[in-house]
Amino acid sequence: MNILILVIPMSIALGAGFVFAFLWATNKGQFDDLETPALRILSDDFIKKEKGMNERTPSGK
Amino acid sequence: MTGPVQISTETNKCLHCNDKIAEGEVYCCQACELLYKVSHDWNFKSQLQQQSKKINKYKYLDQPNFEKLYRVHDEQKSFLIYANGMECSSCVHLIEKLPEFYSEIVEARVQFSNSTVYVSLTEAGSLSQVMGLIEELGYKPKILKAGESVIKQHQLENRKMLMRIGVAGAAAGNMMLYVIPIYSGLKGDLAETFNWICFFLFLPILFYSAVPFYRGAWNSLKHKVISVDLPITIALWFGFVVSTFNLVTKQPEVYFDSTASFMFFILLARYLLKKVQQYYLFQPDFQDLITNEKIERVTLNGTEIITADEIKVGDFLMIHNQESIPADGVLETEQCHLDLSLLTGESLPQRTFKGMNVFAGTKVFSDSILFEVKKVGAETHLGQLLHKLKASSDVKTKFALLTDRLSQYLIAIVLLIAIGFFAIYAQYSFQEALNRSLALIVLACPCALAFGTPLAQGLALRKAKKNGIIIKNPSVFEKILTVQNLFFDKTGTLTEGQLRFTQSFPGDLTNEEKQIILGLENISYHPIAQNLRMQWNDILPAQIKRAKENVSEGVEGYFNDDFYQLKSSSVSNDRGLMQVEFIKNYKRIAYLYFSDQIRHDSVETVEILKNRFQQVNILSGDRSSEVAVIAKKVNLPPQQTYIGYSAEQKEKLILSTSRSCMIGDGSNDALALQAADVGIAVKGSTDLSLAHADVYLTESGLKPILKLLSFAEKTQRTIKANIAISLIYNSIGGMLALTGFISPMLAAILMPISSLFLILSTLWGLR
Repeated sequence: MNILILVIPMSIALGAGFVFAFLWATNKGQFDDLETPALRILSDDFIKKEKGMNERTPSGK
Repeated sequence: MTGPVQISTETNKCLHCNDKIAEGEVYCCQACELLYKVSHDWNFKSQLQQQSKKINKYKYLDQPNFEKLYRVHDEQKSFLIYANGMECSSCVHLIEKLPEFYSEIVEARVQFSNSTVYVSLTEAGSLSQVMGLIEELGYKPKILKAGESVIKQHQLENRKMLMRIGVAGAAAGNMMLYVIPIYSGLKGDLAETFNWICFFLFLPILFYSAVPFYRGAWNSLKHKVISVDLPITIALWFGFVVSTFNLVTKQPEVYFDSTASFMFFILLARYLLKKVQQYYLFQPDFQDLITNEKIERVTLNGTEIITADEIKVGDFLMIHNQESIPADGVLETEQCHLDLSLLTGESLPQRTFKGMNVFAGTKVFSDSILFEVKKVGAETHLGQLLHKLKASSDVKTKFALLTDRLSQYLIAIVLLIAIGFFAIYAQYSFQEALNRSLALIVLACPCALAFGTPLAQGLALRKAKKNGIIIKNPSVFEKILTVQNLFFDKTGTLTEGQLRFTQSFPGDLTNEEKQIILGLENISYHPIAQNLRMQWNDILPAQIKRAKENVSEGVEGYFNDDFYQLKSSSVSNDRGLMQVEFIKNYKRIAYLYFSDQIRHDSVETVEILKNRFQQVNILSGDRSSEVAVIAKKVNLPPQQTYIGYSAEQKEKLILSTSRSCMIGDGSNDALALQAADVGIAVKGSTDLSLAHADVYLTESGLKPILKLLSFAEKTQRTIKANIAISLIYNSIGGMLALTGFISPMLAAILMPISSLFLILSTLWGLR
């Protein structure tokens, strides 16, 4: 049972890690809008592709 | 590839999104049509790109003072735009394609739930062109001021709440893992260690997740308002103290896990309710009443465009047709027509002459006017009205909800029983008495009060919205059932609020005459002209030459060398009934009559409501005999008809009546709507009354009121059933706790089961 001394802190650390990941993601606004991304993924992206590569350079087409 | 390509041969599917559509249509909505064209027709796309280079009516937004006002970030050129008309996923795709149409847009991100677009531009980008493009795509854009953005505030609230829930959930979940061995019979040092781990896991809940409850409890103590936060806080701390005490004294009754999962459930239910409330309440239209954000100031050196904040007393401002006057002042133009409906509820434009006062919030219904500013901002008539509304909303007495009232008794009863039990049982065994009475307090905290109610309310709000009823505050469900006195506004509520053409004299109009009339009215923005266009939408207007609108008289023009005029008759026109002369070559050929019609469902609805409520009244600002006519139509006696009440008088009457519900639409009803226990704004209400009503009906007519009542009944039934279930549950649990039958393990199992039971009963009750 001595292994518990190692396992328990590890499991707690793991859990804490996920909690902090969640807090970080929430603060970054990951969960602000749960509706639009679901719609966005349906987008026909054959046009987006040519644009998506060089988003910042203004291109005519 | 040029020209649209036919992919789908099926006739009843949208060409773009394959949704079902009506026979003969090609697309389900405008967004789909545009998207299809954009992706299949390069000409169309380049057209749009050309379009973005044109100068449009939003040009003023490119001025530095406007840009500064609307910027979201200081360092980046980004803006938040409300795009009215977003309905389906195609709208999201279409708007997010903005960078393709205008190359200076770096990013366009839609937030569908509140119809906003976040647009960031390169330094060379022009905001006016973005606005023009969005309009070109078929939406009504409105730029939002960053500072007063409700969205931002909601976002922060939601994030905080989510983090609290996340922490509580993680802590509760991990605790359960550690207590499983204890429940399965683990004893000794290891069990004690596990319990101590639970103790430490409980601390984040106690000091982080539960903070909002402490605030609520403190407020309820400070303001002596009853709230369910107080028993929650007591239960939480008792759970913690008892468990810690038992842990230290090595007693088996440790309740960390049950209390933690209980907190997690409550937080979840609260979040749901809040989310539903925010979701439907965001309406940027509520925020400002002056529709035009640009204002033309006339100075000696010509005109300049300024923001509303920059208006000063003594400025000369030019206001155009259909725009709102932004400040109080004195008219400089010879004469004009003003729509005062925001202030008085009067539906017909009023003639105003040079030297007369004009008020902020009124709309211009004729050619541009010039006026000198005398008062700005909070000193204007409108500003004072808004101030009054705000002040009275602060003092509006808090309505103690059923759950809040019950919780107060419950704490008292539970505490009394616990203390009584302790006093008696302590003679036998002090330790046992303390344990059992504390266990009672922990177990008896009623889940129904804590999270059954917000859950039921949240679901009911959502369901009501689906049925076209937007409710701002869930307490409406309970309040409306206690209402005894109902007050209806007349114009726009019982009646349509629009002057419709009803008859002509001496005989019916020929089709040609109708065409001529429509042609004449085509140049006019007068409400009568707009209603005629709507009413005769199947008639083609005639081509009128040299058509002209005279502010004071009416419209005139030539058709086939004949001179026609439409004049609002100088003969006395009672409000609600308007007479217009139709004149050909200076000879009157017909009278047209316009009147405000009673809504088709008014009589029926009022009849049903009369049976439900003690008294149904009409409360109208109208002075004319028309009120009596309407009262007679809906079968209400004269003593229940209040005629000629101003906005302030309406408020006074409502305040002096207990348990009142006001149903109205005009801005002159806003004070009354707020003063009433329940204020209901019908479809087509002015912004001012929308903002101050508790309920907003998005379907026209009065029928939705009946729907609202049945929703309220359903919700209250569900809440009461929840309370009954949990009271029975808790009293049995309490008895068992007192008699010592409840072991910690049983308590831990019973708690979540009761919660689950409540969720199911709520879902079933509001199915």
